[in-house]
Amino acid sequence: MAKVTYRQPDGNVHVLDVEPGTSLMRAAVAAGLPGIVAECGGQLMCATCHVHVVDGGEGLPEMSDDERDMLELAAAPVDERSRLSCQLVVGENTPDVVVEIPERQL
Amino acid sequence: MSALPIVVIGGGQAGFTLVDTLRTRGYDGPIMLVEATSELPYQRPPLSKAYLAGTAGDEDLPFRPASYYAQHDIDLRLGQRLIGIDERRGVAELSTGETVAYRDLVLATGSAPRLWPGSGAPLVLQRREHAVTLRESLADADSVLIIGAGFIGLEVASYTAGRGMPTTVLEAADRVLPRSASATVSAWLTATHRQRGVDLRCGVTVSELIVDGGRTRGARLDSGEEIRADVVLLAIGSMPAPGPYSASGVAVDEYLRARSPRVYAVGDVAVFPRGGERIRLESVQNATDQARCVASTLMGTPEKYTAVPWFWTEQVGTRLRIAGLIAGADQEVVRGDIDSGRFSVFSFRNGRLLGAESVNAAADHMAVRSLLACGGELTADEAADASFDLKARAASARASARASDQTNMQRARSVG
Repeated sequence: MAKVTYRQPDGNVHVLDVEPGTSLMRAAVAAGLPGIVAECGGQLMCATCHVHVVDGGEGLPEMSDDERDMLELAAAPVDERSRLSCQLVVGENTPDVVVEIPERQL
Repeated sequence: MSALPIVVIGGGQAGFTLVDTLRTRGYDGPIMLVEATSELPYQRPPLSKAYLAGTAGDEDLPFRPASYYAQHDIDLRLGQRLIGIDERRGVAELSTGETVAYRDLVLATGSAPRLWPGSGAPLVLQRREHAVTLRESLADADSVLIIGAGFIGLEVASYTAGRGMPTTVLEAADRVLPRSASATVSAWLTATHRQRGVDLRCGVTVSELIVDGGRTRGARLDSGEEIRADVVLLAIGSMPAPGPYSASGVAVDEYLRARSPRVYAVGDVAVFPRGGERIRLESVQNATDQARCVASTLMGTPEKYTAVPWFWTEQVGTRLRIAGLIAGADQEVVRGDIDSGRFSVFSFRNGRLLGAESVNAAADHMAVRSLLACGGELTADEAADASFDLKARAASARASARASDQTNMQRARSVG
């Protein structure tokens, strides 16, 4: 179980306990958090679950070529911390994670 | 008098996206979402993939939890249907007998599987309960027969063959995905499914289903041959969901407005103008982009629907992404190496790019989506040349589209 902190662009902060095997996208959507659209449902077909990982990224899966390519079309600016949260599946030993949700997903 | 609601009929991808977009963009008037089943609005793509395989569960399907609708003041009506519309008065009649005066009415009723015209009751796959029945039936089965080699039929075949189950697929057309894929991609998919053990036959016609002890147990071909299987799945496409307005979908204009005032249609059910024709598309992209288009119009900024279509399928361990509509192509070129299982097929008509199908090649797919959306040029020679920088061409197309958007906005401002 990892504690994941989602920082919203408006300054709001949500903290969720995420089970191993669950992605940061799925956890956010299931909790009804705003800002993560996840249009394709986690199939690596869109770039609408973009987050910036500001802490704890070392405990998350590495970026695949597909994810890097899909990030090209993210609506908000992409930087070296950008990930698609559907690919960020929490593991048994994932430390606590902090992500920032960008202004726009579409 | 209190404000009239925007009433959305159908809680699939299009209906959900519409109400979610309205709230996300700050619309604060009343919204009613009417869904015929008793289930929270949920996503369909996993039904033939992870949900069928059991790697995604019931909790993975809903777009949002039940609490979302209350929190966002969306009047969600589960288990209710639209019975009739009084267009003149602007009133919708629901299956409960309730009549609802609407500000605007959006039909997002989706599609329903095409059924078998003769005797027999093969399984179909479109809704969650279909997937549950199919999964349970397959658990006790030693063989499966799939009629139809479209996306659904092939995705299911990929799953069953991957489990080692004898799998037969019958397709009436002369190749798989006859309407959606190029001949090159059809051939590659056919070869790959066969390598994985699928008995895949194209150009065969089923004359009747074999019913045995009340259960559908196979098919009889025109040739007289009988193919028996424990499970028979019919996957021959979908029709617009039946409704009180039209049996063949809802005809709309370029703003997705139906014939009646204040009535719109989005998603699978909408028959909309594109390239001089009237078409209907069944895809997540079409549902969500049409929903956002109508949301703009409902919030006072009328928008024409011009989005680039894209589709995806997962099967035979690969992801096939399709950008654009490639029917009517007169030229196909391959970028990459087909044998490596990582390539794209670009389709052209009169030298103009129609679209591309990308097998495990997301970068190509994203570039083509940009080129089509921004009016970027690409020749067949460039597409086929692996050293040509497709990504740079796409980026420059996006940049010039942005620049022209800004010019237009400046013009609009200087006029205003």
